[in-house]
Amino acid sequence: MSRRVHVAGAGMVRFGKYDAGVTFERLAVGAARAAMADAGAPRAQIEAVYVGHVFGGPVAGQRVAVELGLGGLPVSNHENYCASGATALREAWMAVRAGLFDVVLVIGAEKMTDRIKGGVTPDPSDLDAMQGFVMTAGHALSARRYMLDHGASREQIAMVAVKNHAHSQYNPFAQYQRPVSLEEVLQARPVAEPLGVLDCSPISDGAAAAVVCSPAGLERLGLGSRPQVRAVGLVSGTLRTGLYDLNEEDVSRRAGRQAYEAAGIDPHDIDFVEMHDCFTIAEIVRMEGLGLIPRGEGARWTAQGHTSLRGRLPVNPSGGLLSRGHPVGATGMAQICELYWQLSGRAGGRQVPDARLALAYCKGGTVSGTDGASVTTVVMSR
Amino acid sequence: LADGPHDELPLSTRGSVFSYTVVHQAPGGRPTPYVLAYVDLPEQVRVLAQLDMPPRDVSLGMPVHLALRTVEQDTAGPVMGYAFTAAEAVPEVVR
Repeated sequence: MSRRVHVAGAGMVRFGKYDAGVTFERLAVGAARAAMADAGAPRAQIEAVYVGHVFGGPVAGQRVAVELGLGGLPVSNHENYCASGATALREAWMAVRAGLFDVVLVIGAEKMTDRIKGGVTPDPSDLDAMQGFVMTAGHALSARRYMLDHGASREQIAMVAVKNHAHSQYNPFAQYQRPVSLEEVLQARPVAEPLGVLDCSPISDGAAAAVVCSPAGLERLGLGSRPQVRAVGLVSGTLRTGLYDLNEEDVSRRAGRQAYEAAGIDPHDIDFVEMHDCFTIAEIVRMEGLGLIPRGEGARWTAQGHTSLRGRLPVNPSGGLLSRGHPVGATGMAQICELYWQLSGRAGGRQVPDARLALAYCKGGTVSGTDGASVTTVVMSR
Repeated sequence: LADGPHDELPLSTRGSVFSYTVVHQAPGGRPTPYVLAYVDLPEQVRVLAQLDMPPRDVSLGMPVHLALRTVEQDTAGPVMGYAFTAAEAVPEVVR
């Protein structure tokens, strides 16, 4: 019987666009200190550091560890594009579960605004990238097909942005904290038709962190009950051949199943989801891929309010990537902060009533010919 | 690439538009707008390519035809690549 794994504390810096003086290291240190303070974990208690990032450069995690006064510990860097933060958590979860450590620090961090202009792309060597594929274009192709295949409207897809921005006004860590109207989303500058700029998560800077513990670790820190990390799933994409269904999301289905089985849960018992809504349409097709919304119903569910804070299955009470911002390597850990706060009843105006079981989902990158690169699924319970 | 033996298969130069988008913002100095599409070929193969035609002329399911063209200039000269264009626009002699 492997050991339980808990989140002892979490913290983040507000996501946003910071000037050049606010470095990757400073963001990561800010989030790490907030998480350690929340857990009441002094430096001497931390046994290992896991850092997820994409654009931080070589050994960014070690640069951060030194600034935190944690030099000398095992430090590792984890890159799975937008799933990097959650991948770092998975490594920590496995190590604590296996009994290697009792108290570890996990950080997701990214400084994008001084490195990325105009949107993120696959690696330049990728066949699709050579044709002009950008992430937005992939989701635009998905959206146009979804509308045709499922009789969904542009307005229903835009409602994902309206819903998530409505949630964001209660999240002090979100990059954008104001509601937007359906009209604003529809009239926004086009990026890749039919998607406009308000269908897209922004380019952001930020960091988020958590202290992850075994039961013995919780005891060492003098803590009582804390939310549990039940499972962290990780899958990669598979080759698609023939005239496949573009929105089938088999990669999401496999990632969901892996986590549900490892956590020993019935997905119908999930109370809310932090979903990787890098684009409006992505939230819809991924929720369907996970089996949490019936196939082809996601757009209608959103428009009918079923995925709103007071709906039957709230999705992105934090405001999601669309509002919180999307510093790619930090996003997975920001979702973990949200799960931790929600499951601890500390989410304020965006609290999901009586939240007991939650799922966080990230999808990172694309590889030409496949249905994705990496998908992570984190199940946490109160 | 995948499991088991596989054959080389010449692909048709004609297909139909499965989905498309007009890209208005792209990194790396690529000129915009451009039309990017999934084109389905009769051999049950889907390819991603640009459509070399005005966005207003594109529709789902429309027939398109392969066209070689210069996709960029590098230090050694023009780099040839492929795009698709409206099937009607290709002169009979090329077909």
